Amino acid sequence: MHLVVIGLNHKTAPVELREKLSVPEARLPDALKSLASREHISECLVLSTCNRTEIHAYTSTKSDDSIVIAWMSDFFELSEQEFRPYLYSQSGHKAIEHLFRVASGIDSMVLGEAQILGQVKAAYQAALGVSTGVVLDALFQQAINVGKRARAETEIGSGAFSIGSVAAGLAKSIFGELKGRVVLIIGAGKMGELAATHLLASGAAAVFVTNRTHEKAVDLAERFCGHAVRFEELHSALGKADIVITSAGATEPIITRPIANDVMRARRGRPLFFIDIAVPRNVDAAVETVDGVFVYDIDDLQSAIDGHAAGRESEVAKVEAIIAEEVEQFLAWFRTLDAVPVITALRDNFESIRLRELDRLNARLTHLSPEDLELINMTTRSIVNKICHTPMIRIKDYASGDNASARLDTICDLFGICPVDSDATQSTPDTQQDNNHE
Amino acid sequence: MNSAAILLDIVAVLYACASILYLWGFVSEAARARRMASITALLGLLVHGALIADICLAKHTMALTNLFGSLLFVAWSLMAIYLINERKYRITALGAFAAILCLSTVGVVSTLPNGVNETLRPALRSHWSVIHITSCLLGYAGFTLAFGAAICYVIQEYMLKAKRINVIQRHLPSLDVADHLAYTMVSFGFPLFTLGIVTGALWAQTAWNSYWSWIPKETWSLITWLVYAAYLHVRIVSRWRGKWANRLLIAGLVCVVVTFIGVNFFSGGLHNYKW
Repeated sequence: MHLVVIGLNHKTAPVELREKLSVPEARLPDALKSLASREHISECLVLSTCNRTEIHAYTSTKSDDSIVIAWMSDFFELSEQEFRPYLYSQSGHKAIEHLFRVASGIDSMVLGEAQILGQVKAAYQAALGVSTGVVLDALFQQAINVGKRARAETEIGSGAFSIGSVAAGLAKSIFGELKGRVVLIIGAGKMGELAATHLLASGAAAVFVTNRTHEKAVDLAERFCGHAVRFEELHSALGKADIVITSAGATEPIITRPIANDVMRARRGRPLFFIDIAVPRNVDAAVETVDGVFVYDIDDLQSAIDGHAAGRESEVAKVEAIIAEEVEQFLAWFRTLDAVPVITALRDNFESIRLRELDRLNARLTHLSPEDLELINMTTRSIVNKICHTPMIRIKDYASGDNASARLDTICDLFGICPVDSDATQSTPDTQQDNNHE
Repeated sequence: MNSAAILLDIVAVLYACASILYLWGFVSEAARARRMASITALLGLLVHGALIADICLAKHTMALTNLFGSLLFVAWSLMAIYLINERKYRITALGAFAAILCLSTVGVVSTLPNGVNETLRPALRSHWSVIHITSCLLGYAGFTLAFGAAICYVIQEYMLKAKRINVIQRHLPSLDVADHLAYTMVSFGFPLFTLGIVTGALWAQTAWNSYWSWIPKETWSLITWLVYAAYLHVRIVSRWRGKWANRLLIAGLVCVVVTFIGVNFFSGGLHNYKW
């Protein structure tokens, strides 16, 4: 049996394709049921967020992606050629490691973001009891645990690793919760958009967009479900906003000290936060001297990130160490699964020998009382149990140790047994990395 | 060594631990330190409460009539109010402030005499006394925490303006939270302090046949009351907040300290604590 993950994310596929391959919550139960009913898939789970769609499965074929890919093609009504080049697939311990990386947020677009852990939990909840079993249950419970550990034991979750998240962090230092805060975007630049995305992700509410070219403002406003404001009405928009992101391509500052003074008088001490991403700057340097106004330009934000940059590498390394540890732990358990069919087969083998011999004996000992026969029965059972005891322990040890499949094969060979689930003894998770086509 | 002295020592040790843990949680990323700090502070509060109860039982009266008891009660209220608000606001910086202040208070208190057989002066025996003293002291506790929050506001504002973005800056409450917290604390303390002044006047009437006699304690109470009234006025009526509102709170605490303790040093009179 094999663990596999097949999917696509923000690194491998463009957003248009990710949209086509995302599974809306309403369709998730259907997706899980139809996938679980496919041949060779004994357990499965679908993780679908705006940045990734992944299928985690426990299959009985030797890491064959084609079953899952065929299902994707049917479910999303796309031809395989359309999405196949954008897929990644991992199996065995790499699949486990991949999931743990996702859950701890180091595979995310925004490093260490917290949302993904909630999404992993939700995906697991949706699949729990529908299409998961012992293996995926254990895997996802541990993944959720890894996500929690990563955030509790390292700084990965504290954010502040990009302009947007630093800006959002600063906004939180000023406004506390960003819920209900109004963001005003001046200029329709890409960077401004990115910063706004972070603020909205942190809970900021309304967005106003203004630009010298009104059509561009309307465009951007639509993308954020905000309102476009005419550039002439900038002044009144400033009065409503709490956070102003400027990224307009202007040679002269748009926000000057008199404007800021004016706006702040009306705000009565409520702070106003300018994130000035434009070069040259849109906010005059003198604005900073106004009480209650905080101006951070691109250099200020960059130096705030640099303060964290050293931390960033070491935090990722720390998370990776946690993941390595947890993968080992999961594998140790996972490998003992391989021992189960061997143990069952061995027991069955001994038990059938015992019963056969006992039948023969009973036929010859007709003069004995039922009590005596029962005594003989019990004694033989106890002999079998005692003989089995040490081998059982050894088999479990072998299964989680080095060279497991060869050793398990030897045992099967030695006793002339053939486990029911023949796959299980032929491969352990770390002997199946050859089929990846990433 | 009597039970009060032993309890006082335990309280001091617990608050010392809480102070260290809060400071540690404040300057580092150790989330565990912050949790431990809260637990230690809560334990401190419980023993502190037991200490006050113990003194009351020993004296068969309210323990608040001397500086020893008053300081203990103010510190206890301060920590209690802080811990009630901690869950909601996650304010390690203010925790450090509260714990260190409580520790210092306990330290000061341990040097003060606390005569177990102290008899209340006849002038201080009245039904009004309990309400007057308790509400004034709770008011002081509220104002002190408002001061702590205002300090956090001013430092946070300074760090944001100076662009010093670091662990300490991130662990300070946000401007909005600090401002709101200070306002909440004044909203709590001000009505109690007002009640304290009114009941004080009524008590004065029954005891000395005069509602108000312009002794320094009364004058300073009025000044303090006016400062916080001014704060609430700008906050509620003019909806003005931020830098100056919070500086007013810092100035307010100076008045509180003068009213509470200061006047005893430069004037005698009816309010002088019996040392």
